[in-house]
Amino acid sequence: MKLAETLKPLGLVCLALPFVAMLGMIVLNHNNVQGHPEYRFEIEGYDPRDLLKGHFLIFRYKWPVGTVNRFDDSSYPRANQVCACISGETLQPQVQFDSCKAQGKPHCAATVEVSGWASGTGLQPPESLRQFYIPEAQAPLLEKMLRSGGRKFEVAIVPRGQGQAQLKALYIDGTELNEFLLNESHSLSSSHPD
Amino acid sequence: MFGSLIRKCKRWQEHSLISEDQVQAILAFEKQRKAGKLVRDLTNVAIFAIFLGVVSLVAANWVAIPDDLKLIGHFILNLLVVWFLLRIDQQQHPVRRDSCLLLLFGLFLTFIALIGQTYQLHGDLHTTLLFWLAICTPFIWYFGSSYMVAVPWLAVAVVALYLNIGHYLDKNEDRLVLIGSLISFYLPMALILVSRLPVLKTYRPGFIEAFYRLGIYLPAIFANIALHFFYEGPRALDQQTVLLALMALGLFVIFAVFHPRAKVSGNSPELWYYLLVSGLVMMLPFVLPELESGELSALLFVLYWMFIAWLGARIHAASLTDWAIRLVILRLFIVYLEVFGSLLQTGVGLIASGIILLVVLRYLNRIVAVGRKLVNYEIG
Repeated sequence: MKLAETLKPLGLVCLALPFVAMLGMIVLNHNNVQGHPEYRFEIEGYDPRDLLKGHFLIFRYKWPVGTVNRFDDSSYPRANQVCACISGETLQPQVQFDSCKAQGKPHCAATVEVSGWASGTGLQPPESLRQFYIPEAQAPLLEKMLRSGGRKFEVAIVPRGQGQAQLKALYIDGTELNEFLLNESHSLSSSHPD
Repeated sequence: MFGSLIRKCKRWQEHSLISEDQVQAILAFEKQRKAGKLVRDLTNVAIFAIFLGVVSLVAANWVAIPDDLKLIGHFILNLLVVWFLLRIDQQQHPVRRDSCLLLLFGLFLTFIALIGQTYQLHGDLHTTLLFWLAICTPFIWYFGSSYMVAVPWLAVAVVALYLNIGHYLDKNEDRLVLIGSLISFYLPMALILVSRLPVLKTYRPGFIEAFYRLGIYLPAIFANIALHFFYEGPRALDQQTVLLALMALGLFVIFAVFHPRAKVSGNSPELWYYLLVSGLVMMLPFVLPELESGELSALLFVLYWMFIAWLGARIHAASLTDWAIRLVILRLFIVYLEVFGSLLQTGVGLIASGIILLVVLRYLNRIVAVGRKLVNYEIG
């Protein structure tokens, strides 16, 4: 006897559950990415390169000029978590670092938890916001381009709940990654034979 | 294929231990059993290959394919597997049904990976595994009934448990050691007890073996991990008393529940000894928190595996005894390297080590045979 002929409602629920969960995950992420304004930040290459993450473009944020640091960096590890309050125009956002407890003010469009030293290499968001999944074949070329600094690389992030954000897109000279790759795949491979 | 078995049967027949009919019956039985096993093993290999293939495809970069199309494609693929699953005659083709379930289980992981890739989620492994388990456990338990389905599910569950403990208690090392040690102490016991549940025997008989086997393997693994704690000290925790009290309680539970005289089916003196000794070994680094000694760790390792060899001989598991003795020999060789490594010149040390290793390998079988005789003599 086929399984379908003996299937009870509970069995159907058990089978449907993962499909519903997957659909929910897609809808949630889709709405989040489409339903919030994206804030663009210029990025720079990360050195030393993380060799274990060959599929990802690893980068650091170049915080915009005029970024304010209200955070006292005298103690490490810190008692309070540090957050970046993002506000202003989506294409020219303003950033202010402060204790996460002091964040969440109405003028913050998004708050992102950051870590590191306030001086030197700077405060940076968690790893999940510092790596972008890119096509395998183009990964070395893009990484080389990013590190050489010849082009302007930007990432777009969208707010996702308190203290969290989600990467939405990668822009190269103002063009979205996939479009850039489709437009310039031939010139890229000829100019970077290795 | 049955060369060894045929030789044994002939020998037994020559010594009039078994008749010609019995030889034929044994060979026919083994042939049938192996044929079934081959099909199962090949099915597993095929399912695994498909799973790996799908993982590779999802992980590869399909820059030319729109994201929406990838997601819809994967959704349809999963639905197709469900459609196949529902069309299978579960009485006649249990292997096909379980293969479909395993494939579906794997495909939901690749689906999660695809969604993560599409929306740049970069989720942590511990969260991913937990989410995967949460959505797949209902259908695995509802439709799955064999060992083949239970093993991957149980393996993922245990890995997810430890990864989540590691993540959530990462900032408090004391609490991480406390919770991790206690779970390691009680988990094998819990798995063995779950495998004895009548409801599992009635409805999911195939799951019993998976739970029982993992419950048997884990104490040896955890005991050996615990022995390595002696390399670093001191290990005193803030909640040292709580840890020791709960471990002592665990030992008492083992003593009472798994006692051979307790009227519970499945209890045996060997299981009782094994769980008690493994529990004691797991507890020892916390009973002596100040002691830091690589030599003690090595000595206890050797004693523990001699004990396992003795247990193997008692239950007539010759291969277990052999492997335990091999581990003892290997550990003694490592002790030599640890003790003399810093005293000898590097070159002389390496040459001497190489010669000793060659000698040990040359006479490994004889040493094992002597060890087995000694163990059997002790029992005799």
